[in-house]
Amino acid sequence: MRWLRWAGILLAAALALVTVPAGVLGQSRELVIYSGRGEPLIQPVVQAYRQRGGVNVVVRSGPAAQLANAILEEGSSPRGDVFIANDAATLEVLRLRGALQAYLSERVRQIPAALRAGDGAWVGVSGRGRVIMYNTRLLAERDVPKSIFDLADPRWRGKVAVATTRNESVVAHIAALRLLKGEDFTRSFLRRLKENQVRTLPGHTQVRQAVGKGEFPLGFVNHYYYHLERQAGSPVAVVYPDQGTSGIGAMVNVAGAGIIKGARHLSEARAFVDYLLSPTAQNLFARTNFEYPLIPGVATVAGVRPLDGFKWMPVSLDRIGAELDKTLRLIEDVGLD
Amino acid sequence: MAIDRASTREWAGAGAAARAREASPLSREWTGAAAVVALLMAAPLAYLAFRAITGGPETWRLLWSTRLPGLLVNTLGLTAVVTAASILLGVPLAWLVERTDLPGRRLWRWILALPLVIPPYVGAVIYTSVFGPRGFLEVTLESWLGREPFTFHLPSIYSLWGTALVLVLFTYPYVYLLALAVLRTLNRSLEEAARACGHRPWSVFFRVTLPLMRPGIAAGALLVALYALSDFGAVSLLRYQTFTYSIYLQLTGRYDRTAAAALSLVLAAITLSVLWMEARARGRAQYYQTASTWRPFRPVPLGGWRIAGIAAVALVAAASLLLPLGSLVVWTAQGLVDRSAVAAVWAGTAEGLWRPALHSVAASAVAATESVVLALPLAYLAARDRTPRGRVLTWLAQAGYALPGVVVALSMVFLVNRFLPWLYGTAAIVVLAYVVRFLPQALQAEEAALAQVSPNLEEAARSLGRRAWQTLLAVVAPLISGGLLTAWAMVFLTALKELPATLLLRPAGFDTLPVRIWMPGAEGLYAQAAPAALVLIVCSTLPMALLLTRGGRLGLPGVS
Repeated sequence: MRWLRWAGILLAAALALVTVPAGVLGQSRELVIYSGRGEPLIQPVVQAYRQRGGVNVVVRSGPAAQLANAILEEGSSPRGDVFIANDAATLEVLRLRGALQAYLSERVRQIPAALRAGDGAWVGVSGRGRVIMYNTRLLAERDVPKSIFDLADPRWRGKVAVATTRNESVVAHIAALRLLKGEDFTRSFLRRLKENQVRTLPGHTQVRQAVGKGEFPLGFVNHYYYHLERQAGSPVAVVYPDQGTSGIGAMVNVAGAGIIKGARHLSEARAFVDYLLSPTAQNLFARTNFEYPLIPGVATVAGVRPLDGFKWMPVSLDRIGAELDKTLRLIEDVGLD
Repeated sequence: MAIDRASTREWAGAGAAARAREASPLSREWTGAAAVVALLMAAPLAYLAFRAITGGPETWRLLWSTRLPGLLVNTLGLTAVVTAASILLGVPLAWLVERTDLPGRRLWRWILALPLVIPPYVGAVIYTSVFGPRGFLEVTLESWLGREPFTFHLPSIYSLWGTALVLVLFTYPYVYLLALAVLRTLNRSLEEAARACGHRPWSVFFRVTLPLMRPGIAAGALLVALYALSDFGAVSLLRYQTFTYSIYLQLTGRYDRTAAAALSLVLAAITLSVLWMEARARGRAQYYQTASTWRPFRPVPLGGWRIAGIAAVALVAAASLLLPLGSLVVWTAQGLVDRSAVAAVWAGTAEGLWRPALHSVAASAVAATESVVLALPLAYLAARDRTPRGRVLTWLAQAGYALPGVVVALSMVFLVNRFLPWLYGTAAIVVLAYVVRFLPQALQAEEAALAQVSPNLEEAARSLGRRAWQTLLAVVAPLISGGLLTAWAMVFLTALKELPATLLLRPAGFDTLPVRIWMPGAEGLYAQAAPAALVLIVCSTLPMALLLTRGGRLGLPGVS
């Protein structure tokens, strides 16, 4: 069996050839952040943190669920230290599967209990409302639907753009609807949306740009995307949906952060989470992204409807996380992209 | 066995082949090594199939009632349109620059091959910004026509036709180059005989030239079809739902990977059947010609058609080369002038461009080197051992051909998690994905090179007491060094442009140039995507020039 030995040597050589150079190249330095947020929305804060000196920060950007999967698969030898997601439910999924570790610092305790995990496994960093934005060149204010359920009206057939159900904010919203209105109601609403040819685009940035360019008169986004598109000079306006006395209210969610269990740079990770909750970082989220800051003393930017200025959809964020699997199954049943 | 011997003899020359069986370095260790490599290459596809099939009938039923029909229509439709259009574009262009008196045809011959250095996702970024809604063209036309803003609309680029246009403009050179190669080696006497019999040039083209070019066209069309099936970057930017895009959405948006595995298996099956159809089509049609009678010929005079011919090649060059490169240069220049945009480039990429460029070049170079080395035993087997065993092993190693980038990524995630967890989240997994995907290219190039080395030489070395590996190093390697270089350049070039597997598998801090193009491009940040695209094109140019000039192989024997 001499050939076996040769084959073994060749195999070993091949593996060495594969791993050694690549291992050297891929060596990561210092704090590693897995970020499920759009790059332009997280880079200013990361950049500011880098400039404070001391710690080098490496960011891996990607869709939140992909990174959550990666964290689950890396298991006991994690490559990342901090996970940032656009949605509390995704963080809650990781908490439930024991992939995050608790951190309850002074700053974390400042955040309202409803917007963080009780044990401190994740913490809300910035808030957002789910809103309808429209192109003012194509629609008059009086014609704009005032409820998300109107989006399934045949009147808006093919005219509504939303982010794909790959997007964690969208999934969390559907999960909230399912908790509030029940499985059957939500299923039929999604079916009607699909039949109404609602257009699913890769992400919210594409939705806001498509509405801004007049490709679609209506879009359904997180509130700050409307402000970003307006800042870009597009003729757009906003409606906070379902505000009437009988309305269910607008969905409110948070972008949050959690420290990955077994993080190799634990003290750096903790310092970074605290930094995200510092007035400096909160101001950056509020000013450059138009998000809702969550610590007392930092104000929402002028022109953005404040968090206490509209009716919230009454669903708690940790319950959404526990129901995420069932929601994803529902979405697959309907086959919404 | 007897039949096998007979076919081998026919193929490699009488006598020598029979002896080669004993004398060539095809000793057991080589066959063993080849078997190991072949099995490694086939493992991802096999494991993926296993996962997809054990996913259960419920997954399949659900997919069939929701996503599959639409995906099949979209994917097959796009592949058919792109392949047909590439033939309709590539073949006439090859004929124009090779068989007519088109002015400047030697220069055109080169220019028309160059769009290959521009990856289709770069093309997609440019075409959406120029031809998309509120894009350059729409806004310009609107103001020329004096229309109210938002009232004038071009046909949507986000459609089958828009997607097909972009893919064709950047993949037609596959057909063009292979058609050109056939035209250059085609025996002229056949066409002259037809002319002498009174056929007009058009008639000669359709009745003689075109049928003779069929194998070349089919090979080019196969490459285009395989590309259309596997493309992720362009279709995702153009919002056209094909299998690759749907699998990507599943992989990045769901925790359960059964559906992604099932869709991947269907896509791999489609790709395999395309390969099978091409092999069958090629198997039936055989054209022979005597090699020694090639001679220069008189070009077909275009006459009054000359202007139309120039307009045609100029239009193609403008759309597939001038417009993309021009836009990239303008955007980069704008970025350099506008200081805030420069800051955005640097902030957005975290470390500027040199690190992604380094990652791209290094990962591609490592993958190319490994592919060349690992393919060698298999190439030997393919060139020297025409037994069923040899054929099965070579066939297994081609599995990567059937695996689009997203599918390779998914099977790597499956396999590595299950068997090599320590590789997960390292750059090695990216390199491994490149090797699985692109080793078949190295294999083909090396097999072609080895086929030209007579087994007699190895036999002589062996009879003088050299061992198999010594023979390989001292005799064979120098003879096939050109082929090895070609193989290396091919893998390097394709790995450099690889997007989907890198996107899904890259560890933190290991962004490559394609990732730095696609991510800002998808968010409409063209000024950030442009510099990375320019760097990528510059990095591609050298290996591409090497491939285009090496031998008469691709039909471009240098601009003389």
